[in-house]
Amino acid sequence: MQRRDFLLKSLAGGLAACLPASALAGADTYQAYRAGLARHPRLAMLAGTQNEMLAGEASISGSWPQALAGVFYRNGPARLERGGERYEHWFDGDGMVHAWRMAHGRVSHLARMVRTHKYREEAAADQLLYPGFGTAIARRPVGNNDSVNAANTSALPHAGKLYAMWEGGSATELDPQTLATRGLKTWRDDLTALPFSAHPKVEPDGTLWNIGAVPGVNKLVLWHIRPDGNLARVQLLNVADIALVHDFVVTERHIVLLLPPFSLNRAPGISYLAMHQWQGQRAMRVLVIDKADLTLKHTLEMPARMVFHFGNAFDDGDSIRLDATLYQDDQVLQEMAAAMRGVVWDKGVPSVTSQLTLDLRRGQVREERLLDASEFPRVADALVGRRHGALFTLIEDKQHGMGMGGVARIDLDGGKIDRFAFGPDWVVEEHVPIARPDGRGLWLVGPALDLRRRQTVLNVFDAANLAQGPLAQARLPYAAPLCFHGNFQST
Amino acid sequence: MHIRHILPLILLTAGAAQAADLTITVNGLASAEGKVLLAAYDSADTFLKRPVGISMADAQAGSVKAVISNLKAGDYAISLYQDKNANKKLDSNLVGMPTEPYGFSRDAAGSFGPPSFEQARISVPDSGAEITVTLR
Repeated sequence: MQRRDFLLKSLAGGLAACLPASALAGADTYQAYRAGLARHPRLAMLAGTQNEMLAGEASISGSWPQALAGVFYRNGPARLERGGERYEHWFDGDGMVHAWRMAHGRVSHLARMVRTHKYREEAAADQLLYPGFGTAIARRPVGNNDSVNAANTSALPHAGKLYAMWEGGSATELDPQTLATRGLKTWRDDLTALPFSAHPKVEPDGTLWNIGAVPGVNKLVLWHIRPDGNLARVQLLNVADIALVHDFVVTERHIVLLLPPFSLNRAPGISYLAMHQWQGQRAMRVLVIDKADLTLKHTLEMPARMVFHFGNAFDDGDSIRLDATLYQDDQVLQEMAAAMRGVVWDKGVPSVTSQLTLDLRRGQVREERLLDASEFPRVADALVGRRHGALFTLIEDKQHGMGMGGVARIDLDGGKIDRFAFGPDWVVEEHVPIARPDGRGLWLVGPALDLRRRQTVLNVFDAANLAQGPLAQARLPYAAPLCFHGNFQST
Repeated sequence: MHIRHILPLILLTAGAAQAADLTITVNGLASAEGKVLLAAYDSADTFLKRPVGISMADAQAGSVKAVISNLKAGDYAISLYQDKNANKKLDSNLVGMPTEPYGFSRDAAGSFGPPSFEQARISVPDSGAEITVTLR
């Protein structure tokens, strides 16, 4: 045989879906950020950290609920600079996973860098070596997506395991106690390095659904994980022109994705972000997938929008209702890149959180605007995929420039908005609703950065009355790097 | 058996037979698992389909050398990989991303796929050549 075949079989068919290779490092954002910081103090939110680990006891003001017991895991890009260089996009930084532990009315904080392949190699070299989402660096060869896995977007406790998640490759398993990195999670050998998004949806019974977009071969990966953490099914769907897809929603019967209209320019030497060309004249596709057999049942269209995040979705007769934070176009991606080099856009990119009704019989999409200038929509864990009455979001601080400034609850029946703004010296992070163990409503819990004192504070609100301000605040003696997303595990 | 381990003698005898030898230093091996398999292609049409020369070397952490012998003088592109589990194929995942270390001459890389023959093209004169490839 065929001795010659062993190489060609493997090499000819393979290699179809690697991330692009990139040329030399791009612009030096390091100095520009420092100059910008002097003009815009809110940019301190993008300072990141050089530390491997942070740990501290929080001092409590107000009365932290005794019954609020558990661990709030969060994740975000924390290592943004190395060797005098700074990434050109916030999404590029290496992930740091945070654990806020709450028990007996006390709160402690532990955060550790996720020791990915990329992080270990770059730490050893004390130099940025690999391309990021928005930075074209090619000092080391990239083998597959996990070569550049930054594990920087969310943290999820599931079936006794803790995962740090990116969206272009594998989840990374961590020790839930110490946050030490255990390694890449591979559910099956042929699923190695397969994209596993940072926004898996966990139903009330523990069933986990996730997606992964593979633009190189126009495939969408659908993941179905059992409540015990074992793989149930994985399915590939062909999706033409698939590009950046960050999040999705599930109902009891369906998986729903919105596909912002991009085309991919595969020019060599540019970042993955730079490959994305906005196609505003094209429709945004809405994919409706049947959970029972993981097949595509409906493709609907709506006007072009950019979207990162969804709140929730539920089946409503022949319709599906879902909430999502929408942007007119992809400028928000450029706005975040500008902030990394110290530039704050005068006019922030407008976002709106809307409820979409997908009429599956008529093939139509209707949009009802819920709240302008909002992001990071969340619902209570017990309502994932079920009809929800309230949606929680962050609200922008329009007066004071970039970053979020407050929290809001949107009552979907009647549209009442309950909100709290922290004021100009605060940058607010994602807040998540947590069910009270006595069944009497929800708390809303999340961090905010106190810019004046350079300290991070964990807030707890009565979710039924945000306007009265936090019930209690747990203040760290330091500023923790800003995170994107996280999830609570009760004890 | 056409697959040859690297022996200096082969280098010498091959030279005498008026065919060129290509010596390839493979860097970046993270482990000594399995073998490094190498192939030479002489045209864009046959690239990654029909090799004109192959070789193999036992893996060892760090770097290894291998020789593809008896090449006619001309242009080639080299592909190679570390067959860690010794199943004689470059393992890949469900969508075709390689999951074992691999590389190409000139350390060429493609965009969402393998590089072209042109990107990986090297010249091998009658006197032979030496190149270095870093596994990715």
